[in-house]
Amino acid sequence: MTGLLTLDAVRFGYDPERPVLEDISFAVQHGEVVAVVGRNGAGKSTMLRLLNGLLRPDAGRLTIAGRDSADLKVSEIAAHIGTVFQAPEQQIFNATVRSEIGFGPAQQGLAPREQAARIDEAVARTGLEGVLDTHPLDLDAAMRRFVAVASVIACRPDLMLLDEAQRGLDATRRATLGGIIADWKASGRAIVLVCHDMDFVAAHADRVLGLAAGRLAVDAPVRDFFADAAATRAVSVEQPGIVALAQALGQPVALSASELVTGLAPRLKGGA
Amino acid sequence: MAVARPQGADHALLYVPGRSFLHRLNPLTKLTLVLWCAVAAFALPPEGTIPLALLSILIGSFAGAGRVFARRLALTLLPLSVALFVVHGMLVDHAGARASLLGLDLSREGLAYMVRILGRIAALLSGSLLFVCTTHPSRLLKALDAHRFSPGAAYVIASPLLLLEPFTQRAKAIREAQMARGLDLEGSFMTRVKAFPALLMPLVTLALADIDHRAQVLDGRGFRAMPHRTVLDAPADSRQQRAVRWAVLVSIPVLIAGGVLWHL
Ligand SMILES: Nc1ncnc2c1ncn2[C@@H]1O[C@H](COP(=O)(O)OP(=O)(O)OP(=O)(O)O)[C@@H](O)[C@H]1O
Ligand SMILES: [Mg+2]
Repeated sequence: MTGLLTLDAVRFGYDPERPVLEDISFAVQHGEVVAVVGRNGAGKSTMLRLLNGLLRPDAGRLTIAGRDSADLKVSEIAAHIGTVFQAPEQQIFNATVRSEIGFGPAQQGLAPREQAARIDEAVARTGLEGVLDTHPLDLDAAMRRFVAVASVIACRPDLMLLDEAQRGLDATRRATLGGIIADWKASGRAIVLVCHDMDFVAAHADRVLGLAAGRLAVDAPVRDFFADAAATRAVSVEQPGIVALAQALGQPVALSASELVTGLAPRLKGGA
Repeated sequence: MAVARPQGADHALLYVPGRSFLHRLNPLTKLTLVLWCAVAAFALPPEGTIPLALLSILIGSFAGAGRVFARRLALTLLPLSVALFVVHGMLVDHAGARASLLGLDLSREGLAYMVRILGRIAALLSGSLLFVCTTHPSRLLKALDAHRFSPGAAYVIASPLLLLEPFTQRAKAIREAQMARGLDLEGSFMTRVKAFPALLMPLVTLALADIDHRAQVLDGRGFRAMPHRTVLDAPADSRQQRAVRWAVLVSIPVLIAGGVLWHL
């Protein structure tokens, strides 16, 4: 089966003598939400830059939609993969939210009406209706993040890369982002998200890739990952609160409160 | 493409690490000399600016930042001299005598004009390039602080150097964001030329926004709360260097007066 994206023994170092990532192999399928975790400096952002072609592997192969990425320009990869960078506020460059979101569709050479439709769709999804003619730098940091998300949605890639997109969002906006992720997955497209927040990973990811010492130390379904204390320790992450609670109650791993309650129901009914 | 970049504290955009005589000179002495160079570039006739430029090129190449300095200077000055040569020697229709060189029919006056401009630019550029190649911005700041310049004044003097680094990082970030959204910056020369305005415009607006933001951050940190800051590891200074600085500073008005008289 050819995935949406396949890495085969990829190695990369900013200084080729000292690789940041080594022997990385995995595939991402349609409809999958994959979380990349690991401590600061583990190479998560570097990995996303390899996926979108801004960096090229020193060794190994990266295949995007069945084509070797070495044959693709970054601008061609952009049709398949969209990126919300770790510091999107640094990357916003248009004078209005509208033109910022419209930049990608314009680069794709779409007809003006199609461009406008793409902007409308992305704006509706991210709740930016009221600020279309505002300068992005006049928005607060969280809104700017959504401008970056909207500008990716408007390009309609098959795969969206999110680097710490949930960081610093309040509960409402986290829910908005969660909704975007769920819709994206439901439409058969894929997401790779880098995230230090294990509650967010538990709530939204299907699968976890863990980086440690430049290698892929973990590649497991999210439930198995959190059930395995050795795995979470290997990539220096804490278990989400809900998982710890379930384990303290002697229950199997639960990824949400309702799941835990369902698991506990027989005991509760028994009046224990 | 990935460009490895040194990440140590010693790294600054234009600075070339080294231990030469020029590196060790107190930044303020160098700054005074650059100021003198700048004034001299306009006050002196070509007979003065060209030797001055040659002198700083020689010092820079052999006692300063060496090959890097020479290469940067050549990359700036050579295209410029070619352009000046073509424009003033051949294109602009200067009256008067003609000269012939390598079979080209050239205007004498145009050539003299070109030499004059080139001498000025070379003196100005080699002097200031030498300064930035051998002076780390943080050493300049420390020297200014140690001499009790107010933080505001020190910042104004050093900020062009300090701003360059975040500015290039910002340029890189924007480039990445645009490529990741489909702007073709790897294509033919023409596609890149067409993409250039899309890179330049946001950089200029964002640079202005950055400066504004920076001012707010500095105020927020009580930047001007103290009349001056205390520096523990101030760059070395000496009585001779102080004497040189005073002599150079005093000579500047003389230079300006001389320049004005010369041009009368
Ligand atoms: N442009 C660069 N040049 C040289 N080294 C770099 C560059 N960017 C990152 N690095 C180094 O590569 C390593 C991996 O960095 P990366 O940004 O990918 O980590 P990360 O996992 O995203 O960390 P964080 O959780 O802090 O975002 C780090 O040691 C970092 O210092
Ligand atoms: Mg990162």
